[in-house]
Amino acid sequence: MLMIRRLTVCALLVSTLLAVVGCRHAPPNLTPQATAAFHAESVVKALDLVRDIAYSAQKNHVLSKATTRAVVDVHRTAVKTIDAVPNGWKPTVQSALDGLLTNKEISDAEKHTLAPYLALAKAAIQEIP
Amino acid sequence: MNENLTNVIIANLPAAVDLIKSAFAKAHPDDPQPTSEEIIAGLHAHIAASLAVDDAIDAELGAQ
Repeated sequence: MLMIRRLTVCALLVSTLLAVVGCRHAPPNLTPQATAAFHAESVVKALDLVRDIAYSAQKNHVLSKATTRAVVDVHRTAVKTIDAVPNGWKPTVQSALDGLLTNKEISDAEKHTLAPYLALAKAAIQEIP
Repeated sequence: MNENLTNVIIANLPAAVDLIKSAFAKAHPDDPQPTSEEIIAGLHAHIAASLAVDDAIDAELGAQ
């Protein structure tokens, strides 16, 4: 029963993020800048979810405070980059997410916990035209 | 995956459900389309709010 619940929750999480990016098309009336902003909004939402999950995980003693701070710092960097570079943020944001998995201050167990959510956020970025 | 992590995921389900709803929301033909200015302003507002949450979390973690 617990395994079924876990699998259901995981499936819902995966479908959530894929649905966010895969099903939204920019309205045809938008300027190129607004179209970029439309797609960036989806990525910011995905990044927010990773940050919020890390925060909840820290509250539930799944992640340490230090790791949670690292996730928040990456989120801050990524979101500021999206704001500052509307048409060229992808490499910086992808690199920042990768950096969490190579961060020597984060334990292997915590990396194992974060990995699926980071992969989903990166998949959301890849889907942006 | 342990029980605590499952609780974390469950706690964030409302946000996840909201994302699904917005992704599948279909505009009524009479609904006004958002303007470019509204889309851009909305992103900037979202980013500002999200950064404020980052600051709040940092403050809370620092106070613990």
